[in-house]
Amino acid sequence: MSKIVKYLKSLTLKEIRQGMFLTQKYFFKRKFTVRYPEEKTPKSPRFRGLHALRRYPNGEERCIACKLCEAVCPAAAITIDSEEREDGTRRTTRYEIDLFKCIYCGFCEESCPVDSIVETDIHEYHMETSNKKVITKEQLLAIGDMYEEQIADAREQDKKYR
Amino acid sequence: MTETSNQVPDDKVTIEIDGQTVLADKGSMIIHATDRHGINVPRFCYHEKLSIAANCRMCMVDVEKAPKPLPACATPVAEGMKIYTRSKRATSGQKNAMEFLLINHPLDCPICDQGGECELQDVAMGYGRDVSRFVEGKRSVADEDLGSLVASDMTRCIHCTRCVRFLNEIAGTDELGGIGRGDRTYIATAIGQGLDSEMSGNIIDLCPVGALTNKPFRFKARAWELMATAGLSMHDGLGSNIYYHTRHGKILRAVPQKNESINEAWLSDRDRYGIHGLNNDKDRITQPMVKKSGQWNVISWDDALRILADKLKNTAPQEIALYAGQHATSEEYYLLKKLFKQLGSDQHEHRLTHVDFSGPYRAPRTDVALTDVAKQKNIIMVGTYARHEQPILNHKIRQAWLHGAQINAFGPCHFEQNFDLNLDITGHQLAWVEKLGSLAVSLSEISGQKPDGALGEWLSQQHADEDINSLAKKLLKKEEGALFVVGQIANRHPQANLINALVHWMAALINASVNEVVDGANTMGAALNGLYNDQDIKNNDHTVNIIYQAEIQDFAEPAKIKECLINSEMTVVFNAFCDDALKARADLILPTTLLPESSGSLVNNYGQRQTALVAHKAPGESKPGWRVLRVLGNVMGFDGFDYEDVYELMQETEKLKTLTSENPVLAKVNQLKVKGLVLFPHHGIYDGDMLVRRSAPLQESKLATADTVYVNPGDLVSIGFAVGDLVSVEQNGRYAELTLATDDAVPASSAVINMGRDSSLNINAGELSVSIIGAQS
Repeated sequence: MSKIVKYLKSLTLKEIRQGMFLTQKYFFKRKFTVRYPEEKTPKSPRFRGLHALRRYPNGEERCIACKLCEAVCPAAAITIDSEEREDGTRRTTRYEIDLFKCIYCGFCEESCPVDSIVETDIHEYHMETSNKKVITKEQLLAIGDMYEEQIADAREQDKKYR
Repeated sequence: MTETSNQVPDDKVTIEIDGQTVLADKGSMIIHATDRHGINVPRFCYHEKLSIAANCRMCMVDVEKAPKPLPACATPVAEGMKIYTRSKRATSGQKNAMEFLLINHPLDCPICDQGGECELQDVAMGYGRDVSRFVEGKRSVADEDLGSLVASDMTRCIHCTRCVRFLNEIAGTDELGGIGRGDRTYIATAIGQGLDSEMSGNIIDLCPVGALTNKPFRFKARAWELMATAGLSMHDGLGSNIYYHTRHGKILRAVPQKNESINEAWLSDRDRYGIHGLNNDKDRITQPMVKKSGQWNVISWDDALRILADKLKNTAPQEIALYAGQHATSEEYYLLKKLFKQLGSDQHEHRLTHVDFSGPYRAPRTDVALTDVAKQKNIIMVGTYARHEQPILNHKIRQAWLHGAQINAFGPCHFEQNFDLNLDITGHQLAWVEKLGSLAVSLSEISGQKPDGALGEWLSQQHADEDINSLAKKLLKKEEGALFVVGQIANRHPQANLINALVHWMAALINASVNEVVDGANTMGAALNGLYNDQDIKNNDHTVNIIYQAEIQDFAEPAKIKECLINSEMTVVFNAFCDDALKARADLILPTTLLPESSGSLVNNYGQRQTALVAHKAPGESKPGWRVLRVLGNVMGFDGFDYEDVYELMQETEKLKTLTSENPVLAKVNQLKVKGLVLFPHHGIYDGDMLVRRSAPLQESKLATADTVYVNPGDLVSIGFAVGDLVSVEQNGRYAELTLATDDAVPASSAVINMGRDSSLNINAGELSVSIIGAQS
């Protein structure tokens, strides 16, 4: 009996027609594809991309070298050295993130008591030599300065859930 | 119940804690019993080594039939007491106390150095509320500069008064106190001059919050990043037990490791901060260097050892001299001795701080163990400032004094003590020895016994003294016993042999004990290995001089050793540091490591052998001394230098027999004539070894010495210069440029010069005549 049904199915090309119908259905639907990099998909304000160190509006760096991010980092990607700055405040002398070690979990941002280290929504970056994978405090602060508006905006949007 | 209580000893009571029946000492507090049985009661103000204050109210426990929760630290146990530490009433008492403590405590844990090792933080996790109910403004307190060692953030203080009690009870300096009342209380010094106790660093460990923190360590690292390595202090003869806290192979701070037989729970500032000298790379040597026609060239270890071996092979054995510093490890001394034995030379000496070599060598005598010093009834300090020589020994002497001991001192200066002296007999370097002679004269007259030989002859020229006579009468009663502590001032005295002979004769007469304070961390280890000579080897001419882990500043006679080094063909330096003074006279420098960078064993003043592990990464091509000596032995082709590791060596040094101290032999008394002022070569607390001399926090602290010559104010007129003038101090045609100052503590016709400093490299401790003349500028 099943042999006959199978024979009839293949004779009438039922499965091929089913497949072609699906193709036809999607042919007329709205397209998912974006023309990257000209077009980009929208990102959540919680997107966790490249890191940045933020500053206060008066230009003072936020980071106080509490080293909580270094302690919480599951990949041990963060290295911090700290010292007393001339004005007596606690500051970092070195703040480095190894981007190859980092797993972009966002724990550093969560642990930060002063919202200094953040993960921006930048996900397009590259380095040409492997020694560039470690980004320094200066680079992190520069990223923060450059994208402060976006960073602040994303935090504002996510505020009520935090 | 009646059956068990019958078996309870008289000094115990039976109590019940959380349903567990335990025995507690009568009169002890509840917290003693809970601590002994491992039951946790939170506390801030209570500390086992300090008196009970009961002012933090954190240790509330529930006692049956008591109307309110009671503080465990201040409630004595009573028979049949039932205590609940986890009942609702107890925990609510603890939680309420916690809430009050947190009212004024700032929420700055992220920038607080105590964060991660904070007792308040830990206890707040267990007893604190999630959200504060306190909405008013918090109290803030202005900070005070407490000096270069302790940083303060007094806003964080919870007024437990541990620091106040430590400085009152242990350090004996009463420097901190609680000022004001209620929430306006703050802890401060009375006069705003900072701390100058030699034990001040301990208040950092005692502070349960981040109000008092380690200043040189400030903001350097977090507690959870640090690795602890057990080590030993190398700055005094006690070998205080330390935990070195390291990060990335670098020592960042030192904290005490408990050892009841030595340092209890304390650490002197010298032991705590001396380690910062290691990170001073100004004159650190990292590579072997040889001097060729006045120029220093870096060479390889192979070449360096070959140069040295060739020179040693081609030199007559007795032409080779070794001056070994007193804080190297026993393993290094062992190999040095082995090397010199096979070379055939006995020209080795570790007593760099001695100037009187008139008698045959004798090992230091220590009759009383360190812990028993606190139980003495009579202590006579002879030429010692124990407070600076061995701060922990001084702590024990102070404990003895607190328990009613009578303490007398003979010395060249009125030192500032943290206890009262019954008699403080001072005089210039020759005069105080004569005063010590007066004590012997009184003892001799009362007892009718006389010493023989040179001592008896010398004593017959001395006179009795009325004040000292009363001391002699007390000592002769004998029933209380007595302890003579002979210190480093006596060791460096040109009549050291006479002082020792006097003390030993008196001790034998009145059946007293003698403790001699050694100069270095491992003086005993060097003595055990036999690195000494009966004569002063500086008087002999040598072709090759080896300086092992010492600097010119370590010698009591720096001018004399400079002469020796200049007159020799080759000077070899095994050391971690080499300053300009030594570099100018050296020909070959071999970088060896200091104790925290290498492992080894030390023998302390009281004969305790202790081992230490590597805590710090040595820079450059520095090698542990034992490794260098082992290879040198191989290059020389000597037998028995095939050690695989330091543990093999340690097994051999462990077998060294203990020292027996002989009675001093006094063949002849050094009769000294003095022209001009009498020199007292003072060795400052932070001038003793190469690490403390390079430790910036210690050198900036209040106890650091200066390039100054101190005289009695009465002598100022005859000297003819004013205080603050730059003067030249002349000693046998050599000059030292120093600032003139006066001090009432200095006896008449005495000149006090701080030794171990660059400014005093032209001064020999052994030559007592100095005169002050105009600066040459």
